[in-house]
Amino acid sequence: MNMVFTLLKPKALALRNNLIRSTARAQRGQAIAIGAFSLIIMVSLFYGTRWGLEQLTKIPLLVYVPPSLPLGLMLMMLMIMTSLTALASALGSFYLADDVETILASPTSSLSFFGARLIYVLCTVAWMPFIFISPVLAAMASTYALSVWFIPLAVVTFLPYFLIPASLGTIVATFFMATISQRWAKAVIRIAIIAAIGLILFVMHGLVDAMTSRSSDGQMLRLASSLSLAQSPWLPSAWAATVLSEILVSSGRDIGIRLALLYSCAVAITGFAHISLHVLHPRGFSRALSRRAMASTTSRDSTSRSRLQLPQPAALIRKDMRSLTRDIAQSTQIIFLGGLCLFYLGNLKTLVALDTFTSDSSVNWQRAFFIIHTAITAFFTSSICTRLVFTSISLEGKSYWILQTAPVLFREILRAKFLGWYVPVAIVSSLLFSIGTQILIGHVEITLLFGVMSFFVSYGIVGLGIGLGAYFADFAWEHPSQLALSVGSLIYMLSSSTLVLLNIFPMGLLLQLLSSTNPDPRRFALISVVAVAIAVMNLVAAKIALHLGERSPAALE
Amino acid sequence: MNSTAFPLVASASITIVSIIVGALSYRSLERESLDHTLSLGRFSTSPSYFTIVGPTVSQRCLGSFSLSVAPSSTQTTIDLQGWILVGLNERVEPVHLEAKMIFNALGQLSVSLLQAKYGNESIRFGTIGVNPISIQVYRGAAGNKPLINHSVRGPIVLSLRDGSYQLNVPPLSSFPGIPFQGGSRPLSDISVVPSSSTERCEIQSARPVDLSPLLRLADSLYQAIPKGLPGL
Repeated sequence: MNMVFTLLKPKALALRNNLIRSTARAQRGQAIAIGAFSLIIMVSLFYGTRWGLEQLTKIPLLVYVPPSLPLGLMLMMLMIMTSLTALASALGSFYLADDVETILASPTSSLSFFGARLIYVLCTVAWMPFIFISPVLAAMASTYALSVWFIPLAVVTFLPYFLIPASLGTIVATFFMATISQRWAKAVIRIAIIAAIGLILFVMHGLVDAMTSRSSDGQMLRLASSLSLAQSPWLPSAWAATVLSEILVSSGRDIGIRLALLYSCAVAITGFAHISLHVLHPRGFSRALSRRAMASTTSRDSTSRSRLQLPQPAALIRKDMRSLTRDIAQSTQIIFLGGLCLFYLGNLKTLVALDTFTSDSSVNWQRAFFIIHTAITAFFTSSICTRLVFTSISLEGKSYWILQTAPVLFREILRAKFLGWYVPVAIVSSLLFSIGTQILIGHVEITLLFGVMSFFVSYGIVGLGIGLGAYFADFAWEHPSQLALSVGSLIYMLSSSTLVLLNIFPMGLLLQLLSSTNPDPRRFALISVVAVAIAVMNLVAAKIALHLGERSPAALE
Repeated sequence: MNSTAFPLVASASITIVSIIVGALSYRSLERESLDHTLSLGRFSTSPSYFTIVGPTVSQRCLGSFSLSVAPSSTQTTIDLQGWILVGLNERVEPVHLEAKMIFNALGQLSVSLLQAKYGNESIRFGTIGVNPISIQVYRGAAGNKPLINHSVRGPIVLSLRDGSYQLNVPPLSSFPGIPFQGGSRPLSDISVVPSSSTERCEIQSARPVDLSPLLRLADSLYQAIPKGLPGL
């Protein structure tokens, strides 16, 4: 146990030094600003959730929303995202960190190494979600009349809830590193691309099939049933949600069984993670070392082969894309995010029947689902950007001095990075948004307009990512996954979430104006005003962030 | 034991024990979920016909009913119409059943009414509300004072999974004083089988089901409910 603390001590000291011993006035100001911003978001989350729950309880006696439903949905989404983060963090902590070689050479048992690194992965994946969850839980507790057992039980529940993704990430990272060599990696990526194309075609076929054989028979109920997917008895997030909701509003379900399941599942997965690490780590780590060596050889080879002179922005974009495909942690995250995107697209066909309803209520359902779809697409875009765009400046790492000494202005570097990320992110986001809009609304003109609007939303989110990524740049990282889990990344997530929320209201208004059949010319003028307002808001947000990034103290020093 | 092998063996043992505990807990969870789930089967919007039969295949039918489900964007309605031949205190007569259940957009039972006519007698059983569910039982003509007027925990949720309708009910067995276990022996032997509209059970060929034990259960239920239910 002592050894576990010894291995964790440097991380704890580094954190303390970052938080307390930042004596420079600029750093202190930055820390106060970050703290104040986080506090505002937490207070907003508390009051927003409480308001939402109060609205739900005000719905007439013919609808009842149990707390397990929103909690289940929230915890399920969070667990998916936490698993993805844990995978990147485990890859970095167990295989790519600089100190792994030193630790392995020291007289440290595999159990101590595993324990220390697992605690580190657990802390890195849990701290950020906990900041978002705690005000939501506090709001729920205050709305449903707090039981004194709620807080200790929440702590007892969240420990295995976060341990499961942390251990799962460790298992996947270990198997990935031990089984896939650098030579195989290219073949695996090719197979993944072919599989992704096949999956896209399959999903599209399903969507087209559902759209051509439209039937409203039972669709609303199927939709409601799919919402309860988050409460499936095999989901760990559902066990955690039920335990918490039983404390808030008792419905007679057994908490003990769920807690036993949560703990046994977490312990079993952690035990299996230790066994797989004990057996496969030497092989995986050796492959990680040879991967580094091969990457630099390939880099030298391709540099000597490349005779084509590219303009500065194109050369920077090409360099970024090449670094991305070589970085195992980044490329696995892209594969998983792509999978999530396809899963969401595949499930969009549930919404197909909404536009076939003739009653007035179908319009309300359409609007509600349109707003949910807008939010999901925008949050998905910001999730991609947190992992890929925000980190793009910091990823230069120890090689940043090459860019610093090159005859290129920092502003040009930011523009090139922005351009390199904006085009793919905007295309993916626009496709996702347009498909959903076409399914929900069913008018090509409206779909096209919203497709164009999503290019502006992406502009704002990518601009924020590049700007804040430059402002909070950190070149002294050990492995790239540290960057997505930093305080700067939290600020970016909060800022992009705020921008997303600011976009949802005018988007809903735009839909209402577009759906109206009123021939009044003022309606068209109003549509133009709202569309321009959305575009201007995102352009301004991106410009401010990029301007802030250009003054980045870390990048300019 | 080798000192390097010990952590591995310990991990393997802990993992196996945790898997066993997890499997047992999951089994309990499934049992709990099965206790609260009533599978209604696959239905189309046109009426589906069912025959109520006794414990063995050779025995004759006991009754029949038709069931239709009408889903829309705001609610789902289930209509049931049928009869069952019953024997009550040595008197054999068909009980005509008519029921309507309305579920809201989230699939929660919001209103329901079941009417049973037995000779000149009629009993109406109605519910209103999602959680709690207010239950009222009337005997005889409309306007009579309710026999039972009480609230129970909800919601009862209708869900559609893989084309099959399911009803999820809150845990009833946790209500003390109500003999839900073993009290309904005459009904536990009864099963329902789908039938076509042309091959339905006729009253002349039906066999009565003895409901006298159920009457005793109803009496005990009537005695227990006014004492109050937990959590309400």
